[in-house]
Amino acid sequence: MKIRLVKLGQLSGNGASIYSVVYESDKTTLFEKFIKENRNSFKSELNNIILRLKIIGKETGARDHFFKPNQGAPGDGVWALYDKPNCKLRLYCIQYGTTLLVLGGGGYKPKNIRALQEDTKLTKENGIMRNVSRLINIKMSEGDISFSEDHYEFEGNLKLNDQNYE
Amino acid sequence: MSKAKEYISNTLETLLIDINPQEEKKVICRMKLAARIDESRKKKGWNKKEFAKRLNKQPSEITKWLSGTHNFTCDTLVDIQEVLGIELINIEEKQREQVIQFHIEISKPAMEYELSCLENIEFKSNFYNLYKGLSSLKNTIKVYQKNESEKIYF
Repeated sequence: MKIRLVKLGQLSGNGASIYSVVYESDKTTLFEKFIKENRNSFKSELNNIILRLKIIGKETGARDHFFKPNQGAPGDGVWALYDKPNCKLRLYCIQYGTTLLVLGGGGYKPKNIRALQEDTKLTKENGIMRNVSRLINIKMSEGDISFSEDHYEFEGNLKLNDQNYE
Repeated sequence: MSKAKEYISNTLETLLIDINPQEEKKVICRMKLAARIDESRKKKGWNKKEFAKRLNKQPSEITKWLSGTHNFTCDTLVDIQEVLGIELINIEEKQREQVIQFHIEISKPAMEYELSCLENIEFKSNFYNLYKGLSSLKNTIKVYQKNESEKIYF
């Protein structure tokens, strides 16, 4: 299964470039799926997440302290955007410095669980982002993908071959 | 090297249009405050634990403050200002510069010989000096007003 990195023009700006991932079979990004899944049940939380991402992209950049670190394998950059107080809508992403962010999916984290592994949906979404991070790292080590000089863009062949996709 | 094409999402657009401008201002303020505080903390060379200790707080509280979602109280901001030696709240009203405009009109029925004076260089020079005098008077008043905000000297 082929996946592709796309830059979200509406969120990217002087602060950071914000990307997401499109699976060829779906024609829609992981982040759009996240929106569609949660826009009815968690409208206010979702609006706040989108607003914060817009501010990250247009103004502040993807500063470390806006994210909950170490949500994936050690060093793979899979983080989660901090939840708004009293809200539990989790969004996974991969952070490459303050200027590049790849958005994935996520879901509601129930209050009665401590670890994401206790929730099937969160485990699945987290696994997808770990896999995307792994694929990007492979492409980078092979020299097929690199960072632009100003570190605001991915350059090269942004199509990734995901053999683990079911 | 090829770059990613910009992807425009209609799904995202419908939500971006819905953003309340007042809410946006509040979120920008929270995120920028968090960024400013974190920058200053780093400049001091303190990690979050050290920063928390100086504020007599738990590190988890600092993490919450810096998440960009925290609605700071005035008291908290005052404490942070003190510890970091920065200004986060500025409540002093900026002194507006007061300007007094003088409009002087001098008029009398013109004598025939005076009309020809309008073309006279000496007449123009005298008029210019009078104008310069008035301008300098205006500047003097301005200087006094800047220095002593409540009093106006003539």
